[in-house]
Amino acid sequence: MSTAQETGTGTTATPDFAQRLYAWIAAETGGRDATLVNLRPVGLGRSRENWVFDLVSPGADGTDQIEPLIVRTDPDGGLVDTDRSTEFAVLRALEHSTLPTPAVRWLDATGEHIGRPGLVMRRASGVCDYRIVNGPLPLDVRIDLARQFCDLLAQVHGVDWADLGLGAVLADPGPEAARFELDRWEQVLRTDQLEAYPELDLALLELRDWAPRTSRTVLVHADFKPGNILLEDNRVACLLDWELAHLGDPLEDVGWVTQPLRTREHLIAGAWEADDLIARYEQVSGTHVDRLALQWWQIFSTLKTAIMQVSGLRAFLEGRSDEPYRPNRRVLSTLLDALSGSN
Amino acid sequence: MRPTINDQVDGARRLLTGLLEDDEVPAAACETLTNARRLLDQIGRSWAALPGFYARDNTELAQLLQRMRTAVPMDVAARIAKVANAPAPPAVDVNAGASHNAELRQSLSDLLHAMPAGPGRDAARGEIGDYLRRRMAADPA
Repeated sequence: MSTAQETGTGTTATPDFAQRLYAWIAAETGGRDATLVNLRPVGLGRSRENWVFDLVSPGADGTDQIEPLIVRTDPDGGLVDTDRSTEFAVLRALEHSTLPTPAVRWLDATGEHIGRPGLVMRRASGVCDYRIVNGPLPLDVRIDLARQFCDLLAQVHGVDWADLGLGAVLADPGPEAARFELDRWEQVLRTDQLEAYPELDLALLELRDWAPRTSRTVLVHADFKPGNILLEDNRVACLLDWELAHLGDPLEDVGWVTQPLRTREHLIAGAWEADDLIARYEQVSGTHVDRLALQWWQIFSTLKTAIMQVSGLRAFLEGRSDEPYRPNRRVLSTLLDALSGSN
Repeated sequence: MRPTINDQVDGARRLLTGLLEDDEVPAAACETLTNARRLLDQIGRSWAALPGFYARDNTELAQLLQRMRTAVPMDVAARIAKVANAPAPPAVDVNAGASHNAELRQSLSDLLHAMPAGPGRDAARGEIGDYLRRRMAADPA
């Protein structure tokens, strides 16, 4: 096996990372006569957590077989701290479902191979546009896309997670999913906050007072948005970014996509409002959406966004991230207004 | 005396903008430069108003804490009183104003967590929420 540098294909990867990746892939493929080419980073910034490359190996008929792959590694700093092992296990389990998800290949759980934890998965084809629902496409196409996204969300929640073995990977919080998630994100806040945020403490206390009970436990994506969906010919091709996935209340995702901060990503003013999305979700999933519980999850989603910004601020101030995040006025104002409206 | 703070912030912005308009600067560098320029924008918009904001907010928050601390257990109330009664730093000392503001906000968080359940707590939380919204609207940063 050889790297791109050795074959002269050219790459923008650092030699150290390329060599580590080469050695890892060689070990995983048993040293067969394969070549790693076109290694390059995806996205911008210093952390460079995602790299794409092609694995070229001789096929049975003598022609080259090209497998497009992507390696995702833990960033030095960011909005959320997630576990690649869990992400790998979830994706591997979902390969046995009907959900359009990327196939995973190899896991470096501890970073022993490439320097930090990472996983390699098949690179799915398609394009993603996080603002496609409010982009330049004709209105009927955009409404159709919004419906597809809603149907995809219902499909995620319809996954038989127990049958797929996800119960061995993810904790089932049962009917207390709301309190479980509140505890989880309060812990993130306490770990990352550099100073007091009474706005967030007020939100935590108020939400704890009326946390709804969960009627059914489902697989929650937890970062469902057009920016994580690959499209081909305006049809859903793949749902990406499962790093935050967990078991919990389906309204967590429904609240995430209908919260005020996400309006432009999921809703179309006058044509596809939150009520349309909820009605469609109820129809496709065959479940009823408790509007009061949904309100709780919408406020929780805004609180979660603010806590992510607190984590992002710390990562920036400690030099682990180049993105100058901070809990901003829009997010905190939305949160305080939502709390006021819930009283 | 020139260069003023605004002169320097504007100058730094101009240097970064020049680089951002250069087609030869790699995309990754442009992303970082854009972030740096965004921070300078933030400083340029807010620095002059910050000392006055801290002075006003420290006064209002100290009064709020003094008024509400009677609703929480005595040990917490005593800690809050110590911070709320501390002399306000000179308005021109923005670092001291920011530090005192952080202490007062910590006291507000402590007060929120220590407040016992009951109708009084709901009213107090409502008042605190109103104060936080006013603060948000006034915060130049």
